[in-house]
Amino acid sequence: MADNDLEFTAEADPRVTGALRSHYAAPRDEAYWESLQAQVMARIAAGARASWLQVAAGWARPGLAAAAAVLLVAAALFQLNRDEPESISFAAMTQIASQPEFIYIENDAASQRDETLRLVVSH
Amino acid sequence: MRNTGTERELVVAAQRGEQAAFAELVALHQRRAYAIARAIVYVHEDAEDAVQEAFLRAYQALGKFRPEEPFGAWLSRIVANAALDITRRKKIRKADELSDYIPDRFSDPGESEELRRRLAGALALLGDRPRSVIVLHDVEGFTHVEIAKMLGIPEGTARSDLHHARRQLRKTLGNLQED
Repeated sequence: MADNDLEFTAEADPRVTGALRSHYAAPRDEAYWESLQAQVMARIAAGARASWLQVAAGWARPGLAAAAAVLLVAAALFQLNRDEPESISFAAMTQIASQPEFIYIENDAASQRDETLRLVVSH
Repeated sequence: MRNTGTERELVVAAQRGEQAAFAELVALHQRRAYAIARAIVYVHEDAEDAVQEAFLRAYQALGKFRPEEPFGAWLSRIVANAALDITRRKKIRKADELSDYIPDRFSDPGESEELRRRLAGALALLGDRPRSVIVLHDVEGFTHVEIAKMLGIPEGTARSDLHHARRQLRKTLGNLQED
């Protein structure tokens, strides 16, 4: 001990120090220290597991949100694919429906022309 | 488990995540850690808890530790903090309860029962901080500077605590020792 007590000069009493040493004696058994070391390392391993779980728990909420978003997108795509054949058939139907009408009108105009020509020739 | 390598190498390996290296550091420092904790918490079981808690904290904070610095000094402060936390939690313990507890399982069997009883009573009357200071200084050999850092008190307070603790213990145990 290199300390030099300038103001506080009470010296250590060897008998009191001896009694204190005995009172505060650490376990002497080597097995005790091996066991303590094992307990420390077990706590560290448990702490590492706990922190891994904490990380996993931290990711759980954003993970669930991402899964929900993926589910929504998938549902929307599915719905879109289900609606597509109807819209195609509707377009096809309108196209088919318009063409005969046009042809009919055209045919109708031609027949009127033929009819008019037939009237003029007959008179 | 490795037995070679300096403490610095062990620290660097532990910082890389090698638990075996940290286990070796535990083996190297656990006796000193126990002595510090025991000086502060008084009771063996609490000292054991403080040592375990301190090593866990040290492992978690290992990334912040600079390997060129002395690991023992850094660990000592962590041990002292863990022990002080336990002391704060158990502040309600009465002096009577403390003096009733005589941790004699590791002490010298040749020592008289009366001396043990009187010493336990005298230590209980000392109060937590002066008791820690006298044990850390006179039993464990720490300097006032080291004790002040560990306990988070001014160096002058450590000196004054030691002075008063020595006087009080000598006074309390004086009669018995003169017999």
